[in-house]
Amino acid sequence: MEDRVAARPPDAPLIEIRNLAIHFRTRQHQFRALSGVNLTVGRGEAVGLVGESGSGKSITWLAALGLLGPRARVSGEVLLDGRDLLGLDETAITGVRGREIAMIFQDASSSLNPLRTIGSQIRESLRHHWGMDRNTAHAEAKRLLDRVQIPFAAQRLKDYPHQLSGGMNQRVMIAIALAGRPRLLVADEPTTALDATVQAQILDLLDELRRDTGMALALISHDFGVVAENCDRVVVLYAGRVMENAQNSEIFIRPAHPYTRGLLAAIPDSAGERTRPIRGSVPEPWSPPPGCVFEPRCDFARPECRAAQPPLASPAGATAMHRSACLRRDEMATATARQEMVAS
Amino acid sequence: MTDLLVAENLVRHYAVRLPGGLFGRQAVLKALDGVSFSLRRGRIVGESGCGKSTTAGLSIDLIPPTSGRTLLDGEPIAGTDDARWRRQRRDMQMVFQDPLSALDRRIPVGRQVMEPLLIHGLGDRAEREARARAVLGNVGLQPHHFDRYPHELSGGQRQRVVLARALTLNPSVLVCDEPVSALDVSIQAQVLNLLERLQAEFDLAYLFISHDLKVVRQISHDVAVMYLGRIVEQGPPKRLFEQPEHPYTRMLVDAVPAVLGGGRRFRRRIQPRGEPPNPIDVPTGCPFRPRCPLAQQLCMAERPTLERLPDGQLVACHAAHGRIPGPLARTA
Ligand SMILES: Nc1ncnc2c1ncn2[C@@H]1O[C@H](COP(=O)(O)OP(=O)(O)O)[C@@H](O)[C@H]1O
Ligand SMILES: [Mg+2]
Repeated sequence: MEDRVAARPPDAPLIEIRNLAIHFRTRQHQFRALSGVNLTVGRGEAVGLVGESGSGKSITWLAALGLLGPRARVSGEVLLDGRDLLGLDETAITGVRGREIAMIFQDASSSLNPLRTIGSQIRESLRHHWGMDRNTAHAEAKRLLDRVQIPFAAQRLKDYPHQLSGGMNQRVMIAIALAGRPRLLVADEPTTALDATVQAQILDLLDELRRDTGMALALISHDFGVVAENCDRVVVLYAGRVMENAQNSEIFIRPAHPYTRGLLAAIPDSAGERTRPIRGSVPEPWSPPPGCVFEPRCDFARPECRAAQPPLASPAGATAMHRSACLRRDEMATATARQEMVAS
Repeated sequence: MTDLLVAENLVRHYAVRLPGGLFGRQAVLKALDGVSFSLRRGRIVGESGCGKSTTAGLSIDLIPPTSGRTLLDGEPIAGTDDARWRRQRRDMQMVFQDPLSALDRRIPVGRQVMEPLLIHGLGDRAEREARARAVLGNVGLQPHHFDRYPHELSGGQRQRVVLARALTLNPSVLVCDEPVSALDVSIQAQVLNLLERLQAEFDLAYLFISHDLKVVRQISHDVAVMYLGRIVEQGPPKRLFEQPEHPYTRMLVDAVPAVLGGGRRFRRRIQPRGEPPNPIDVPTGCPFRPRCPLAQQLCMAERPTLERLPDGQLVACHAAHGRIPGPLARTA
């Protein structure tokens, strides 16, 4: 594995998701929840994944880690340093979880075991990943709690999750994730349940850890503000497809997809301006529209948009990294985000 | 213009037993600790901070207060089930966050919108149905939605049904507790715009509760920020968001992540620190003191009361009133 890393160019992405598709079979329906998703995360990069609930943000990463269960059929490739994770057997993928890619979730308090102390849960993770003996694991657990800025770490190790606040439990989850020294941390709505002032502290902590350790961060959020402040690049998902993918400096200034524009206009901004909603609602995954998935809600749709899902491509005048899945991407990218565009 | 809904010094304490089995100690949780506000017809008051939902419940008498009272149109809200109380209950309606749990999944939504009329014995069946159809139209739903079941509707449509049900009785006050928090951003904006339109159309007053400051700012005429069961600052949204006086308001406003000109941006004036303490262990003096960068001796000794600044802004902070130094101090 080590020599394979050395053989790859240093600027090759850490993670390369290629043409990922996920089908689910439930009692009532059989449907495709994710279609043709391409996505990369560079070493040490912070990538934001935005989209409304049900757009496929979580399942993308659950699929990468083989956590979707037997009802899901996954196709495509998830390359970690060139190695496809989707083909791995259970033993091999277990070695990836936590060690290469760690994941934290929205509800930290229920992800922790209520019957065991914080300390024993971190130590277990350390023993599992590194085979540390009890004393070494104890010292390392204390160091990790210090690292996630939990005051009085030595005492807190003896606490149970219910004795800590939601924000502190999320810090504990981060400490457990750090125990495996992962190269990528996937944070799935890590601050959604928290008070705004606590949310800001957790996001600052994640950013600091990323800068200090060189670990990459995939930040999943439904809040554009959160990814704008904490990521270098943003991927916008809608109904299981990538709508737009660009550096922050481009996507928030010249969004090149009507859905991105719509989302930005729907956020009440800090000046208290009136918002413009996107009409209609997300299609049911088992009855997607025939052409572009966003077409039924799009103010800029034309007849040709009903023919097929447009591929991702760079709008004229944008960098090659900026990609939009809209036939009218060139026009879109000429108007700034706050500029009203006239539908025609 | 007289105030429609007035809350006077509302207090709600709960006796709780702290964890620790047999040895758990009894304690008092001060969910609400002396909250007063008033709501004029056609006004919207937003709230943000700790103690919000308790305020909602108390202000329309869903939860009995430990002390204090609420007046509707100058009359105290009756504590008993008499004619006045029923009239008052009709006049104040509540809209909750989670539309799915607020609706009965076994009954078509049209019938659920008719239900309040049935409970209050208003109209005959045909009149009730006509009223329900009209209100569903008011909230932007189609006639065919009348016979649908809740699970057949999207989240935004369900929230519209909940709103329609609250509106059937033609109330003057709507207490909305996180009415858009469960909705996606694009749908959230639809419901917010609808709330604004209904307010103008029916001359409604809203007590609008949300943890999302951006939403509160958009919809409110007047905003109260709560911390540990008390209002710490209150005023018009522009003043409150652009020139926050209380260090907690400032910390909150600064913490709101924003999409600004496309860059990563760290523009916090006050670095957020600490977390709200357990409401059982409210610190002495100013409850915000342990997290406050301006705290002095006085803040430990004396709890600041909500007082007016010269421009009318209400603030409960010694620094804001110039009693201790601080970047926010001003000479009164
Ligand atoms: N285990 C599962 N079985 C069936 N459908 C699922 C399962 N997990 C997720 N889905 C469906 O996949 C889609 C994407 O889900 P998810 O990734 O959780 O969305 P997001 O994280 O963006 O809110 C949704 O339509 C969801 O209902
Ligand atoms: Mg999710």
